[in-house]
Amino acid sequence: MIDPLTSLDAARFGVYVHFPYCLSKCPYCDFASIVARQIPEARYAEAIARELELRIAAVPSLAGRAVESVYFGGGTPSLWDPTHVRRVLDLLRARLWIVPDAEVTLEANPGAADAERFAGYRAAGINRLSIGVQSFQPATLAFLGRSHDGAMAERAYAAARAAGFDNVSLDFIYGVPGQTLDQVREDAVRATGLGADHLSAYALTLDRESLAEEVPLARRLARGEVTLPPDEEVLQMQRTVRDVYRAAGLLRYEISNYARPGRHSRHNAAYWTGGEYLALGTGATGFILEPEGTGGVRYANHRSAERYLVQVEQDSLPVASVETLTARELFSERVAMGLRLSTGIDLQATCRAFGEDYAPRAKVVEALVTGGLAVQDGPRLLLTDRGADVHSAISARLM
Amino acid sequence: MAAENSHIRNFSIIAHIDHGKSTLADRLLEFTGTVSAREAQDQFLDNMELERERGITIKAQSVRMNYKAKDGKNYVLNLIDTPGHVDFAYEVSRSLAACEGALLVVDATQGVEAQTLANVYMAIDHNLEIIPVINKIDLPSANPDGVRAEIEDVIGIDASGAVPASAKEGIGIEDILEAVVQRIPPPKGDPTAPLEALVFDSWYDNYRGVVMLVRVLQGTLSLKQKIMLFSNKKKFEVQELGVFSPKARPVPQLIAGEVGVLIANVKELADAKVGDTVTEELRPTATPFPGFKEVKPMVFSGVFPIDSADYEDLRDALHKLNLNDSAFTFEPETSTALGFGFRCGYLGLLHMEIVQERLEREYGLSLITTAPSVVYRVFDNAGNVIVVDNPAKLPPTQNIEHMEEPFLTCHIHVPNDHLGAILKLCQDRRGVQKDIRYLGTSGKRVQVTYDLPLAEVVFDFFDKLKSVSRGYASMDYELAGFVPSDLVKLDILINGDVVDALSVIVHRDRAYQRGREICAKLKEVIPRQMFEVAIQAAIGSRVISRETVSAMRKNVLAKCYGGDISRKRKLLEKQKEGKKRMKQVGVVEIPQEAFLAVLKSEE
Repeated sequence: MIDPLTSLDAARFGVYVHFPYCLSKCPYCDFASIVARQIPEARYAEAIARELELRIAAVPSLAGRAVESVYFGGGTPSLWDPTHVRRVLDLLRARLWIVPDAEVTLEANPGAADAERFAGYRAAGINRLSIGVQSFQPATLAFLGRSHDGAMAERAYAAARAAGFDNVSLDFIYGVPGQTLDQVREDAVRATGLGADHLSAYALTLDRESLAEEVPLARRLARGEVTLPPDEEVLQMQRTVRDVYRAAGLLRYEISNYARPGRHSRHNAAYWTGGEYLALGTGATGFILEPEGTGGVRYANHRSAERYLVQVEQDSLPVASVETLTARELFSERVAMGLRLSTGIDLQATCRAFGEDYAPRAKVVEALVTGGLAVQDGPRLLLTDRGADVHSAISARLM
Repeated sequence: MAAENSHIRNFSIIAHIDHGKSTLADRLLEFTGTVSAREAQDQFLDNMELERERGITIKAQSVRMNYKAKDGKNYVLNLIDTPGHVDFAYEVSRSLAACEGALLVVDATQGVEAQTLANVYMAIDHNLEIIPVINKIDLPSANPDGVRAEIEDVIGIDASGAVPASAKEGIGIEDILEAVVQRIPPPKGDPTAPLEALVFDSWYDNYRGVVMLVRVLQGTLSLKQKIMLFSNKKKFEVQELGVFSPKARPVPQLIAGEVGVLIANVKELADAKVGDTVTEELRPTATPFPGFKEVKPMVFSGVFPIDSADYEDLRDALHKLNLNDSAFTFEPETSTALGFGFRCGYLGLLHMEIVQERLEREYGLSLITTAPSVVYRVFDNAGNVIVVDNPAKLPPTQNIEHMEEPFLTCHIHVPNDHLGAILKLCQDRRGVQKDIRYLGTSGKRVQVTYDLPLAEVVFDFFDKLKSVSRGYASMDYELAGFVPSDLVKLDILINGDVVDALSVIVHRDRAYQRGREICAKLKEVIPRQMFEVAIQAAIGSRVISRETVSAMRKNVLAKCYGGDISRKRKLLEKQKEGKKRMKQVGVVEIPQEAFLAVLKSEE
């Protein structure tokens, strides 16, 4: 559905399923993940099923709700056998209502990918794959602790296509210590050469405040063992990525995301447009609006897989924290997230919707437009590339 | 005849900052059982939170101790604390006037310092009996004999009876108390004479109104008595009398020689000025106790709320604080850059910092203080004399015939090794040397006297004094008067607009250097903004210096998905909170400290 404040086609209600298990831990990753020799695939699927029942019991209005997107993230969900993925999707279909054209994504690791497995996911109802390529360069992959190589990533992509996926996304990281601008360009050229529908390119983030948990690379950075490329260079990398992707027809629609027209992620768009999402699994974060009123509730599950499993198996919600959000906070999120989008956000309408005063913000908007950091596109304010480079500073002034 | 007050001893402690005055006071209170060791929070006398943090005494206090001396008699000892900073020299003189004696505490490792010297001379002027105490004798580097010789040599008093002590270790405390009893004379004064009492401190108590700390010199203060304040002839009735031991305890009367608290339904602190004389309405003394003067602010600065909506709160806070500290003044001021605020006057720089800190701390305000200015006398072409305490209010240059600025006579006390650096500093600060002489006979310590412009002293002089002498120089000063001077107004422009609150008046010869320094300092303290910021210094329309703060380049979060949103919103909220500490001038956000940046030089 189109979100009126940003004009972006975004899921209004999605389901996020987290699969925390990995074959190895990447030194930059702050998602809830655990390396397991023996992955309890069936036990974990059973736990997801139980959590779904517990969630519905707690919020009965969830039953039968229209789900516009489902996202299997991790961890490495492509380590989960398609039969378990199918089981989870079947349950979601039975207890909620997955609409016919719903976007159903699964994150896949190039290392654990073959056409047969992908076909299994496809048959289970997955219609979009997001492959964590990160880079094609051996040095960059080694630094990031990734065990695959460029050729494996390309084979994974080919396998996805062979399995019949017509919506494939690839993830990349730039701004990696030691990485050159040319290497970033090569990665971008090779990515677009494959013909992906959607590309994500993230600047490597290691500052502690931005991360959900401390990661080994951040510790190495703090000890001075590694240094990130200077800001100016990281920005050049971003510009290069943008130019190469654009030339291949993938347009920047969010600060770190690019897609062919109509191929942007509607699930992720829910996060950027104040949409609701039910979250299931270890460390997963969900957000449900208050049925009445202007606030909402965001909850996060236990980040430890074992603790999560035990909790659910005892029929209690595996919640680690619950945050009640005020209209004010939701407004702040709406503005900050909306400004990440190339469609921008109708700031005046957003102020009206959340009971905020636009007048004091008008002066900031004027200065941004005069200074070339934003443009007004009809009712929507959107950041220019230069504005996007300082998105945080701008958001902090408009929130 | 043993007078009724023959068992009383009134004394204060004179010491340089850090020489151990507060610790010694604590030990005396403990030894006399006035407070138990457990009760004695560190530094009992400094009971304002700010005082304890800064380790300085702002308001004078007095404590009564009971002491049974070795002669078998019981004595009442009143310890009258004195503020320890040059900004409060007048208060020091009033506190000393309430005493018959003083303990001169000198650090056995450091020797006599200028500030000690100034206060000691003041005590000698008041004919106080001075008992030297050589403190910190427990330290390995202590040199009690050297310090004793120095006291005799430099101050010129007999130090043969100096008491060696270590307040920290509790050494020599009883010897000090015995010396107080034996060597400090009991107060004179006739309890039956007409009342004459000196107000040596006063403050505002939310429940009781104005509280005065008085020393009764003649006569007796008693409850219900009708009294009159000499300076304004206002009449009040005595409601409460008390002493601190150390907590306030009511007493029915205070006789000549005694020190205590007087509460008399006085509503305004301005009516109970320090140094005033309290007398009887029906039987007034012929003349007041000499030496009363109105303290006048020497340094002025603008005080503005960061959030203009807090203006009313600031006004209320200033009114309330003024009840407690009548030495600062305030009146409304309007700035193009900062909006509505107040022009405040202070006794000195420390006083300015204290007022600002108390406003922020006790009243929860976020404030911008502009760079302090002294008072200039401007003589215009029409023959008028205009007093200007705010650079923004300086008349146009073409209307000014000439200007005068206040000068101080500064006595700087420095070891010979650092003399050269001090002379250079004074020379650099437009000082005029008046005197230079070696203290005592050792040839190691020098006192230099300079006339220095107050504006130059206000401008980080103390910091520099300390740094060029590695902390060994100390200073005391008095106002010397106004002197004609070639002064210009230096304006600061941010993105082409004059920011009136950043303007300063400087000597023409120093304008270029100061312009460069201010621009450089502002470049340092103004954070990168979303846009480029141009900082210029100008005299009239002539730009003399320029710096640029380039625009911020990258300030963005790479990822924002479901699990990140709360955390990242909080990061952005924190960033937004940071903005609130800044003042928006046009599109530029200027942090608080920028307005004081002109105080710090880069030399």
